[in-house]
Amino acid sequence: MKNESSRLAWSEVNGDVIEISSSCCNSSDRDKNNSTYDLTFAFIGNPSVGKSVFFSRLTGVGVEVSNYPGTTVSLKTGNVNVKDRTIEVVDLPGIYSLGVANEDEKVTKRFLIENAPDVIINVLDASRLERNLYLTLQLLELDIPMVIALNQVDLAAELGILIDTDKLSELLGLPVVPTVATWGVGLDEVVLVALGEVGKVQKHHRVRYSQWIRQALSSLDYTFPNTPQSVQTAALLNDAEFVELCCMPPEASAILSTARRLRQNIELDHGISVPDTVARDLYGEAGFIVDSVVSSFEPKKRFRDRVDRVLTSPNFGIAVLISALLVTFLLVFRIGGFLETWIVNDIFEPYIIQPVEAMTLGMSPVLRNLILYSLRGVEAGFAIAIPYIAVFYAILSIFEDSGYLTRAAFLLDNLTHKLGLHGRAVIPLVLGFGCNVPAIMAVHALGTRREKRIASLLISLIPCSARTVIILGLVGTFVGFWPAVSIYVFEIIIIAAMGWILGRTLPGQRSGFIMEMTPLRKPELKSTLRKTWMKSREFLFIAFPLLLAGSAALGIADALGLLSVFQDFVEPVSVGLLGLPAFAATALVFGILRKEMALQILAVLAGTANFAAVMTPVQMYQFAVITTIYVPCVATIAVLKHELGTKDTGMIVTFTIFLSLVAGILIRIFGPLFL
Amino acid sequence: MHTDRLEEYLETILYLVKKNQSPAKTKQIAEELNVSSPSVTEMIKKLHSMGFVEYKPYQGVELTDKGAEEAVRIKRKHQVLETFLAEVLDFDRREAHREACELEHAVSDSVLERLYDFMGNPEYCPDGHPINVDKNNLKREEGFIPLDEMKEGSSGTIVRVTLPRETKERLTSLGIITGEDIEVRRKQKQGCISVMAVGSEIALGRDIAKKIFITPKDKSQ
Repeated sequence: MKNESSRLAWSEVNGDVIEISSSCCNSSDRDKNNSTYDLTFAFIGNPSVGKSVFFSRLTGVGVEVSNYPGTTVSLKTGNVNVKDRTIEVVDLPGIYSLGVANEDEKVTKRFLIENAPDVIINVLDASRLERNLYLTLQLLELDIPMVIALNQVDLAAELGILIDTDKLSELLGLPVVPTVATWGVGLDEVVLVALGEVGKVQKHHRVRYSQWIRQALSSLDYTFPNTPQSVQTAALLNDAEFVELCCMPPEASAILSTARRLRQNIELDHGISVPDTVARDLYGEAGFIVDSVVSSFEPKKRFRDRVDRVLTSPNFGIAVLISALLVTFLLVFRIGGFLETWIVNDIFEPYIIQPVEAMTLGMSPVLRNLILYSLRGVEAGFAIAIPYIAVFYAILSIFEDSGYLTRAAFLLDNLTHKLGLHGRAVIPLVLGFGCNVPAIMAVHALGTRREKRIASLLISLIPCSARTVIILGLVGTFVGFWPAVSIYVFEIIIIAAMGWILGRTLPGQRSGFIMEMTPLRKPELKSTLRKTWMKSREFLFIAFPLLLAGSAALGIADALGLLSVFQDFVEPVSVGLLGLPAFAATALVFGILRKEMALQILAVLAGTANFAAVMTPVQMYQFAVITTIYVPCVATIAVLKHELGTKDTGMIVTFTIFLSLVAGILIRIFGPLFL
Repeated sequence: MHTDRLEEYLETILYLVKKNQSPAKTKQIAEELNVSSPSVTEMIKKLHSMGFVEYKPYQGVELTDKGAEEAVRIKRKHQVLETFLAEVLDFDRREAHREACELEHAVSDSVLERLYDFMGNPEYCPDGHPINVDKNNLKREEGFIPLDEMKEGSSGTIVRVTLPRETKERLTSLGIITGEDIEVRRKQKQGCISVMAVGSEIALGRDIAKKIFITPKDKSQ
């Protein structure tokens, strides 16, 4: 029956031309209400099953990223027009189960209950079907119409796994569509099939739990006949949040307490753990389904397997890793630096900034500064986003898609433990050397809040490419090569020490290192480009507003003469305590906008680019160290606020100011001994 | 009274050593018995002078062979009595446990063996623990080994996961759960380990692998 409906949709696709068009939704009409959409489809699946590729191919450019209310979990929403209907599609975070273990899972459950999507599109990885079915079987209990997109069937076939989709569809009681998201195969079909399922009552497969669990569930059903089975199961598993979302408070507490008694009875009488038993039953069922739909053959021993061995072997693996990191760093720095110079010197300065400067000559200084500084903010955004972030993300997504990233994390887990983090933090930490912004954006995947906080602080101390410009341009050129290197050493010592201290003192949960190793495969150019584009755009959305506002405010402050007031105000510190020239303070303020701007402004204020004439080596060394440590740049602050919230961002900013002052004073005292 | 306390202590240390697979900490003993840390230290000294325990600074207390023998003997008494109370006299499980805690110090060996025979020599007490504990198996209960001691390429069945609930749930959703078979794919010296579980490869940190216990498959050992 379900197969028929899926065939029907298939023939529709093949027969008539049905336009599936996607369009951009702007935030204002989303804020008004949800009724502008006829339907809502939710994408759910395990991490790294190709769900996001699927989603972005479907929605095209019009994706909006917003945090789920009250959480840091971001949901991507977009819309698709099919047969005169506007469908809102939501990409939920990748999860392994509908449990209570992390925020992503909780958000997914809340979304499913509160927003009640019309159809769930469950994306499965065909090469890891059994594990993926665990989530599917949990979703089935919710009784929301569901369609399965069986993704990566090509990879599965390569690994010797063939899946009978008709049989799978029959067993689960819902349509199954085979897809290859990276090539765009089957995507439209999934949406059309899903559209056909709207409002239908699907007869979903039910998991046959073990005897004791079944008894407990039926006694719950007897006492609370009006609650859905999903709620009863959740109550038995002590998932209070889920039950409270679905039921009125008195009923929720009644069902929870009855369930608690039943659970304790089972656990005492039979010596079994209820959650473990339920999980085992789900796996048992998944295993049974896999046995009946999968025909597998031994794939020929692949070259890839041998490469895989080598990548995590003790010595060679580390050598590969170090070279991979070096190449990444070099590429980002080289290509990024080249593109940045090109964007700033060949596009913005001659074609935008200078003409506007000439045009606004007659205007009032406040207005003129407002325009000019805002433009400089835009310039800074492009000069960071396009060169560094895009290049970085291109390389990162190659590593990610090929599966190498998980091997790198595997190798480095030990080392990062010493910094109070675990293997997965390697990725953002390395990213930080290119640009702090994408690095902090990558912190989201780290698990507990404690780890996100440690990693974010460490990253905002990592000398990014913009800071490298200052270190090399000022100290490297005018003081010497080794002093410049010593700044890096100095920074890394500070970072390691901070990690060590935070790892021991910061309260909160330590999550151990648990990570799925994705199979090695050849990265696809298309998906690399797509991911790069998506991430760069995400950065633009997060950072641009603050960049513009910050620049405009700075411009007005400058026009009103507030900057010189500031310069006088901090003179006791900048000149008295640190022994820097007075104008350096103003340069540092501009450095907040874009770190390397500190150097440019310093040259303007000093009236010369030959810094040796106006500053002593110790002063230059001090200036470079202070710029690398003090306040992260505006774009970084924007993403910090996005990931950690205002309070932690404030703390990091304050701490870095303090740290830079201490470092500056220490250099003033001990610097003359070396320089 | 005095011997009662001694026996309670030995039993608790046995329980903690078995549970954590490491020496029992003074603080844990104090929590378990609901007494203050200094009085635990006091008692440990006494047990030490009697040759029942060994105390290693910063690590904790371990049973000597003599201590283990004694502790196992008391434990067995407890299990037999608890089984008798629950199964034969139909006491509530919790009550049976409480009563057994008191009776175990009073009952003589001969009475106990009669009871044991009377019940038909059961293997397990009501909460699933084996009644006859071999003292040589204290550390390696029933041939479990922690996952981090498995060799690359070997496989086995997960028998126990002693991790906090959230971590355990995460592992469950990745297919690492008691009763499932796993195979060690990669292993680093002093580092991570990766296992195949329900068809996908999962990397685990060492501190997590230490708390997953496996019965190895014969052929690979």
